[in-house]
Amino acid sequence: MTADARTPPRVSTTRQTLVRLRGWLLGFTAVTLATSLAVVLGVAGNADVAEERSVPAILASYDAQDALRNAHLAAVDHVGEGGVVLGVGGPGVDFQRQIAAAGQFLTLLAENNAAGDAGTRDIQTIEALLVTYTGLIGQADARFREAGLQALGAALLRDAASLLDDILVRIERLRGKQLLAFDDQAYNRWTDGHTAVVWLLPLAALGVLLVCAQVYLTRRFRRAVNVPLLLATVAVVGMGAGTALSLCSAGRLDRTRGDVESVHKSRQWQISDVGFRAANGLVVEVQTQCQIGCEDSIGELRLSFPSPSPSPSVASSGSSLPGDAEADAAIKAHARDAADSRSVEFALPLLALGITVLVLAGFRARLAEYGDQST
Amino acid sequence: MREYGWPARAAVVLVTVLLAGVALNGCSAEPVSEVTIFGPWTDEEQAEFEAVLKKFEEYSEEASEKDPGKTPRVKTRYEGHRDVSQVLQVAIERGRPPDVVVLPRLNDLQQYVNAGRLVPLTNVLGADAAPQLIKLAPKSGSDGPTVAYGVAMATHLKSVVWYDPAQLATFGPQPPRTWPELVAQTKRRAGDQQVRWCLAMSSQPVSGWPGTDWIEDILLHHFGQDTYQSWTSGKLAWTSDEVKSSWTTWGELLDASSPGTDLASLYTTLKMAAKGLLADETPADGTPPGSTAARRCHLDHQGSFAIREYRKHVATSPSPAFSFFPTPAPADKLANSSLQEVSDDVAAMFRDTGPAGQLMKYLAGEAAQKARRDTAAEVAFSRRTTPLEEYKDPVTRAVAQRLRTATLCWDGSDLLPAVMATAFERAVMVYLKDRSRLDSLLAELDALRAKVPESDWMDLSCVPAAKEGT
Repeated sequence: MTADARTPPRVSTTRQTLVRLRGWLLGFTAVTLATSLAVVLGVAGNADVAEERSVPAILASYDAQDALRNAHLAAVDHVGEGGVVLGVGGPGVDFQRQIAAAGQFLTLLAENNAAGDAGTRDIQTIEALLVTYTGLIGQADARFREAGLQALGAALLRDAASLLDDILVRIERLRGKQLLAFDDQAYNRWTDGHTAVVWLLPLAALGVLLVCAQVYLTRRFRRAVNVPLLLATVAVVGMGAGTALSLCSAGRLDRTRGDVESVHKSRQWQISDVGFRAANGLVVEVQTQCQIGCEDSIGELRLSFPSPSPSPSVASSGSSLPGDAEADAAIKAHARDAADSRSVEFALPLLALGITVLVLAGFRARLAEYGDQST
Repeated sequence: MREYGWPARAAVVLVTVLLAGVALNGCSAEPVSEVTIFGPWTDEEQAEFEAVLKKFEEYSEEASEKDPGKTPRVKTRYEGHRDVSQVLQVAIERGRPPDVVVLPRLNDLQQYVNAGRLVPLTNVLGADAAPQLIKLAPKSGSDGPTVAYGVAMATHLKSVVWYDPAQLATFGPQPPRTWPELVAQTKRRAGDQQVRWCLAMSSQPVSGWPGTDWIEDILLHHFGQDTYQSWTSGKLAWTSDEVKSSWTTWGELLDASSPGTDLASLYTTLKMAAKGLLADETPADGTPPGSTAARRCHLDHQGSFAIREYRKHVATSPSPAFSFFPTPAPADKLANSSLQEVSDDVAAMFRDTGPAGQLMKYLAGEAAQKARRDTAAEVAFSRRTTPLEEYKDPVTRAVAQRLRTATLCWDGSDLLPAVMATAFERAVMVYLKDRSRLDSLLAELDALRAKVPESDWMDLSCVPAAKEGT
């Protein structure tokens, strides 16, 4: 065996460099795709749940409270006008309509409940108490129809009012749980600004590598520009822009949360106002039925619902107001906007595939020039 | 040896770290089982019971540490509902019953035993639980033996009338010992003011039950234990002389009180009654006397749980700022004075799980009762023979004393089938508004009684109070 035969064949260092560079570029493309896609899907998934479940559940909880307060007001008002609670025509029908609406809103809340088992249990309890509440109103109605027993009707209305307060507190707590779920969707590791580092770093590294490759090829082979690599660099910028949309989605979720908070005040005022008017109606009824020894009861009824401070932005009659509908529509629109990924999850793999093809194409001609030969 | 690049090495390191993390997490997390409990206690009573459950969790944690393989650590989740029966019914219909439930009505317990929904506690509890056990037999289908299905968690003394000792002179030289004395003192004027009963019917989830307590108490003390048991088991008619007489006796007492007492009671809550009884006292929050409501009444027929409310209106505790006397019997039936109407909140097990059994065992023991006394400032009574020295407050000690010296008869409304009890409560409300309807009310109640299936009635007898050492 000769010395030449024992020496391994010399591999071209340029070819080696080209292969390595291509490998790094393909590797970084894969990493960039993985990180960008993960972030985009993470944000979009949460925004979807927020739009499809949490926001409708939160709004349904306000609507259910509103409908229940108005149902009770309808019952009390009708008694004050000398009618019976459930009678055909007038507020009797209004009571039934509002109760039916409350039932529908609670169903909507149950369907969209984002608070898991705890939320389901709460809804179950609220529905059970609602059965007791409507039973009390039914009894009150029967007593008001019976000559000489109107005082009992008023007492039953009072019991119903107390139970309704309990039900509304439970709906309030349930809303709190839906809000917590919404916060989990809006403020998590995917929407955190620091998460941008996870996808920006590989993306930047890929861009830098592409530029380095371009410079290397220009110097080594004395060509002006490697067009496929230039196009790949443009595609990387496209990936960056697409992934950056997730930051916008996070911002829109944050805005939706702000919208929910701003609507809370007006909704609460409205519910308090209806409660105040129902309590006043009940006070008048108890005063009519009990002239001796009821001072404490009447005082307590008055205290239970102090007059709400005037709110110029909210009218004082009816249930859901045009302003509420607009605010609700705005919240839903922002949530929908946040959940709209603009098909970035499909564009990213296509761009990554394009970069892969362009990188392979960009190196193909140069590698072909070398084959296995040394420089 | 083949050399790997840094990405491969990094991947190996990363996977190793992840696996180690998972393994460590698995080691550190002990198995935790959750027990769900439904009960009738809300607000401060809920906080007190949750403190008892917290003690149980600590006990469970200690047991788990001592015996890590066998005893799991138990977490509890309590839900308090004023209408726990209704909420429980819905939960069962939806297929999501709690593990344990505390029921305020014994008849609900019987219905769930009949339906075969409750887990017998025979193999769950120790001998220590005996004084608190409620033993029942299924009353539908094939009759079975009497088995322990419930644990009386909290016992309330009901045959008592509360008053302010400082106001004793307003209604008499001493608390009445007989029914006629009670009526006479109610009629007595003091400074142009008639003695007014603190009558409160408004309550959640249903109004009227304080009135049913009145009628049951009168029936028990005027006609004795056998008549009372005959009525609670559905054998004695509502239109019978004994039952009708109990209603009219109550009506006469109310007539002797100041005008409007009955009608106002329809709108009066238990809290307002307590405030009316003790309004002149300095409230516990330091507000000067008289700054709340004026004293509106002087006698309150209410269960021992009322102590919690009274204490909000007295300056110091323990202090005999309020006291009680037992519901008096007629002069010729003083032997009935030893009979006491009581109500129990009973814990029962819906799901046969080890952790639920652990909780039931704890609730049936002295440790849970001590925890209740500690967290509820002694307003916690049971059928156990707890040493009286455990009660520092003279009022709570007197209640505990009474519970161990009398014959205890269950609250009649708690024994009646739900539909019957509800009708009874409604009848009381109507009676307070219009006494002339009594005959038609009793006839209606009897018509309903005839429709209730035999298996829905309970036949629990009064029981002598537990003796020391039992």
